[in-house]
Amino acid sequence: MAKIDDRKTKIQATKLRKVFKERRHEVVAVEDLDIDIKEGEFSVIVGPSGCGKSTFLYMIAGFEKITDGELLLDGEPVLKPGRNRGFVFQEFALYPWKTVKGNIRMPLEIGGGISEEKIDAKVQEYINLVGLEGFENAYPHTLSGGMKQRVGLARALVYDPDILLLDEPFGSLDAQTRKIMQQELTRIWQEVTSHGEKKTVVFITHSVIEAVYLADRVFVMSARPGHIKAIIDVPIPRPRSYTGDEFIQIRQEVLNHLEEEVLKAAELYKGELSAE
Amino acid sequence: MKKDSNIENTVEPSKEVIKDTSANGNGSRLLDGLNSAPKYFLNVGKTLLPFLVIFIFFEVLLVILHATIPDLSHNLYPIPHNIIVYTWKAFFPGKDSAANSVFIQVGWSFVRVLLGFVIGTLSGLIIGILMGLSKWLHRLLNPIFSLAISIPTLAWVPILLIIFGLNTKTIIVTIVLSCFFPIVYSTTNGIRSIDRKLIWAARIMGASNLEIFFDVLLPGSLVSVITGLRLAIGYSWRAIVGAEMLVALTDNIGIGYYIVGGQIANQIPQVIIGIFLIALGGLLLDATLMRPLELVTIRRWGMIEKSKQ
Ligand SMILES: Nc1ncnc2c1ncn2[C@@H]1O[C@H](COP(=O)(O)OP(=O)(O)OP(=O)(O)O)[C@@H](O)[C@H]1O
Ligand SMILES: [Mg+2]
Repeated sequence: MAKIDDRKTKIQATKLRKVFKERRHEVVAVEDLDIDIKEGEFSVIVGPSGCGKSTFLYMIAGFEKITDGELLLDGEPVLKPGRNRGFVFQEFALYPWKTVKGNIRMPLEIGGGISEEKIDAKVQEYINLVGLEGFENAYPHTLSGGMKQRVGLARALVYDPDILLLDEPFGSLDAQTRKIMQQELTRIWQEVTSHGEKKTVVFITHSVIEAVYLADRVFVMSARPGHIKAIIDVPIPRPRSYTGDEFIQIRQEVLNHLEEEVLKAAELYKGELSAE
Repeated sequence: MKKDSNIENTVEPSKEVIKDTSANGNGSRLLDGLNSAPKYFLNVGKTLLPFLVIFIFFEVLLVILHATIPDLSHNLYPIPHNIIVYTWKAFFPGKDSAANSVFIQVGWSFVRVLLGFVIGTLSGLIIGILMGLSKWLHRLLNPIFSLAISIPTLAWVPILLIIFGLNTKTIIVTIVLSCFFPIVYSTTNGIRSIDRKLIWAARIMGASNLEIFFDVLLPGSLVSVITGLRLAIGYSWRAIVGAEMLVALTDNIGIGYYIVGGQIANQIPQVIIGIFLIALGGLLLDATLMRPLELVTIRRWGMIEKSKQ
């Protein structure tokens, strides 16, 4: 594997800023955010609650417009959502009126230009990839959280985007399922490539263990207004375990950076409460 | 090897059911069938019991009344079992009778309700969808509709009478109005309250506005739209009776007229039969139109709780 710094830049933000204008006041969600995410990199962003992690991911996805600064994918400014990106939501955001197969088919049907047989084959391939064989015709409400998120993953991957964006995808799963899904995501990320390259992943989480388990690099975001406060390399070879000196040491390092920010965020929150 | 062992231990509910029955074997399934028949009758019995109690109560009450007050009119104070006899005559008046069968009365009302329902629902859906899609239109029209929805439909009738006159048109337009407002309201809200993440998920896979409309907004608003349809049917069935009563003097047909006719002819049994038919008609509309629609859509999709009903 090439060293991170030698690789091509995939996602680049410079002095990125996002302001939400409410009726009476403004919320600066993201300010002075600089980041450089490499092609094929598994990047994980951690940060205190409300620091603007989702907002940042939504801007990469093109769901939210940037207020100021620059946000480039492959050197091009992000203008709107598009098929070079896939998105996985914490709340799954599956279509309840579509079956597992129907949900995963949807991007292919929308893309058009492929025969029904090819669509079917592709859908089956991704159903197998995420381990949902036998549940093709189930409706989402009959699935467990872990299985729902498998559908979410397959739906985001099936049209072969270069970039995979995940906003706390395992945040609502129980601890056991969560570990399984972390292993599964690692396996899938290693299996699935576009043009011979691994997908560029931006993964958001609250869990430091999850971050260190998954990431090539962990980005710690500051309390609001969010920017990148620290970058921690995780040079542990995969498959990883949750133990080992190196793992624990890196985890501690991330925790130290994060704790400061969590405290700041708490202060900020208190300040806002008393100001009201 | 990872894949299989890693799947969470949830089994599709339908699969579990299949497993259960096969485990029981044929013999016990047969017994189940035998057991469930009496259960069914027991349930029907439980539902009918209160009616039976009321029936007996009034039967006894009126027999006593008639025994103590000999001059009491049987037409104004009917003994319940006589109403049942009367019901037969109401449905099958015989060839020589001048009266219309109550079938025809109810049938006419049904036709009017359906006609008004279709017109009111279609126009309501169109306006509702437009208001759901356009913030601007919503801001413009919402105050008006928020007010209109709280007006009882029958309050419009005097105005309609002036515009359309004492005839079927007025009745049908009343039904149209009684459907229109709840449908506009529920459709608008249904579309506006769709989780934006469902829309985003479609956007990032490259969906056009048209695809988002048909693939996300329409099915996503169905829970709310079905609630609106239910309200609309209920309102229109109520409104038809009122409207027909008001227009009854010139338009001699419909369940509302039938009831007013009973009052004019001093035939309380006729009024009571009319009331029962209205209740049954409402149930029937719900059971034949709304329940099936709900079952194959939002219930199947788990968008409303199965346990709710
Ligand atoms: N649409 C919006 N309108 C106004 N303010 C918003 C909007 N979206 C987010 N914010 C505010 O921006 C800030 C950052 O929100 P964001 O959801 O990005 O945080 P987060 O880091 O994802 O938090 P969490 O960890 O809780 O998911 C918060 O203070 C939030 O209240
Ligand atoms: Mg968030």
